[in-house]
Amino acid sequence: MVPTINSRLRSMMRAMQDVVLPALDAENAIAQEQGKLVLGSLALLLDQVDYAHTFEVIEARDQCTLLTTIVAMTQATPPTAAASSSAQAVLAQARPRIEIATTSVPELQQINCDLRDALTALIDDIERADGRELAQAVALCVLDFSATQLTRERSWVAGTGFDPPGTVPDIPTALSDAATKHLAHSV
Amino acid sequence: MPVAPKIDVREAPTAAFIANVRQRFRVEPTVDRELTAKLQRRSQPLTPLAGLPDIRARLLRFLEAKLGRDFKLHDLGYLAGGASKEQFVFELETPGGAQPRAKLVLRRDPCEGITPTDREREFQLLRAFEGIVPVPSALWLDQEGEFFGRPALICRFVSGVQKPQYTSGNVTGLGILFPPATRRRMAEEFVGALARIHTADLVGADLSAFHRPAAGSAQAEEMHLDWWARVWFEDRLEEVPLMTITEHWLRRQVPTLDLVSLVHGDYRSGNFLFDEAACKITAILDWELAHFGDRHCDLAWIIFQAFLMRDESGQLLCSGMLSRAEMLALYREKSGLPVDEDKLRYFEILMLWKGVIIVLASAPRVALGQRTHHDILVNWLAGISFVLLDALRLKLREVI
Repeated sequence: MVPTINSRLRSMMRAMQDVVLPALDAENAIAQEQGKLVLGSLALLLDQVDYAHTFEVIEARDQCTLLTTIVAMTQATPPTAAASSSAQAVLAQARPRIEIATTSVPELQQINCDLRDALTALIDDIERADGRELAQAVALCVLDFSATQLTRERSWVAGTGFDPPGTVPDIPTALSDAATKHLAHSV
Repeated sequence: MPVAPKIDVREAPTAAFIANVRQRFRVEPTVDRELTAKLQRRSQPLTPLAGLPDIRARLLRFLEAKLGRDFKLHDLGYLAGGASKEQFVFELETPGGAQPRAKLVLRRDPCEGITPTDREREFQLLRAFEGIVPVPSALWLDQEGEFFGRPALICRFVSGVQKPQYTSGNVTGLGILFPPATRRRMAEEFVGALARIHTADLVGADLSAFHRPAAGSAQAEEMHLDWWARVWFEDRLEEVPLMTITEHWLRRQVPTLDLVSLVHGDYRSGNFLFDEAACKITAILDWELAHFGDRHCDLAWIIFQAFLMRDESGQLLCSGMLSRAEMLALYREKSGLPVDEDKLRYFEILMLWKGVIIVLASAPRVALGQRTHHDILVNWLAGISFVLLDALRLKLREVI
């Protein structure tokens, strides 16, 4: 499909850079700041646009793996039975939809939200049940999972400049299986 | 088959949702007032961004109520900086007044900011700290928004710069590195002012908008935790299990307060103005997150991971000035107060958690609803969320 989203974003950036920003009132600090942020945000979108679907699919797969692991850890704990059962229902709904190519990005985002909700409900129940050993084991599991997840997320928004250059891999590298495995083992 | 998006109750909170939130979290009355108003405003129609003619008309009515007709308003314009309040600068001419022409700043709440905070608290603090540390003099408060439509205050304009002339940096004063020649002198100013804030005798000051906890209990931090847990509950767009685990850990480990201090709440480079040639702070800004509590809260912020900058030799500098050890030693020297490493670790985790709440929950929530003049900026700020979350993960790994 031409022109591509990629190409249109580049055109917008060029218009901002060459035409709009130079025309702004130099004394209007807010307009200057927001003009530059528009340009920066377009550049960020350009980094992300080709990978938006892949990003959500990988997150959803990983969330499913984590939630399955935590559900298995909590099965012998009666106070978490309701949350555990809800989590299994969410997993059963999520798994087939993640693997369908036509599942849209907003749908994948909703699936990820549901998986996160289910996991959080489970963690809250464990805390209320005062199962310190189990809570600690679950916490460590979440922390380990988060290492890979956060590397992906930091790469996703590296264009905002809050991570010094070179600190995190670029988006395609961060999304690759190799990077995921490497980071998982480095925890 | 496509799935319909779920209705997000947080985007248009019902009365029942609001009542439940208020009952669930125990916070200071003025914090409750502001957070409740925030939720109530979400269901109201969006108002267009304030244009200068509208602000001018409001200012004229307000000033007439305060000063009568003997004044002139000049040079009203937008004031850049910050990511939360709407800010305007103007000159007020009052013939016969002590200062015939004064440059002033109007700070007004947006429809919703990334840190919804109470203007009365800010106003009282600016008054209380005048003469203790440099602050903009607070002149008037419109707490009910009678004149400005939303809560607002007017204070004097203070000259100074937010960052050194030759430095890079991101939005809202993040990423500032002071030049080598001025680092020590700026740190003396910066830490000296913090020590005076923490040790100030505020007994006679009108700080009626604040709850003053007692030393020797955990009450102060329990309320502080409830404040931010409530914001997370009200604003988040999605759950983050790491944040839930952090909150559980924080609640289990709440420290006992040894000394009640006024905690600034956002004390860092970027939140003060200074005279670059004289290396003097001209105003400490952004008091809206202040509360009575534990000084380690501010200390954890000044050594905060996300604000570290590398100097020319690669050494990490807190707030772009001194190493962690130098910064804390200077604080001990200036304040005469001890620094407890265990508490510091606790508050480093708390401040990371709170930082994530602001940038990963409140900022995207505000931008989603298009409720500020800074939507694009607050969305940009959300980019720091994952750096903070990863730092939080590493800190938690040390203690869990």
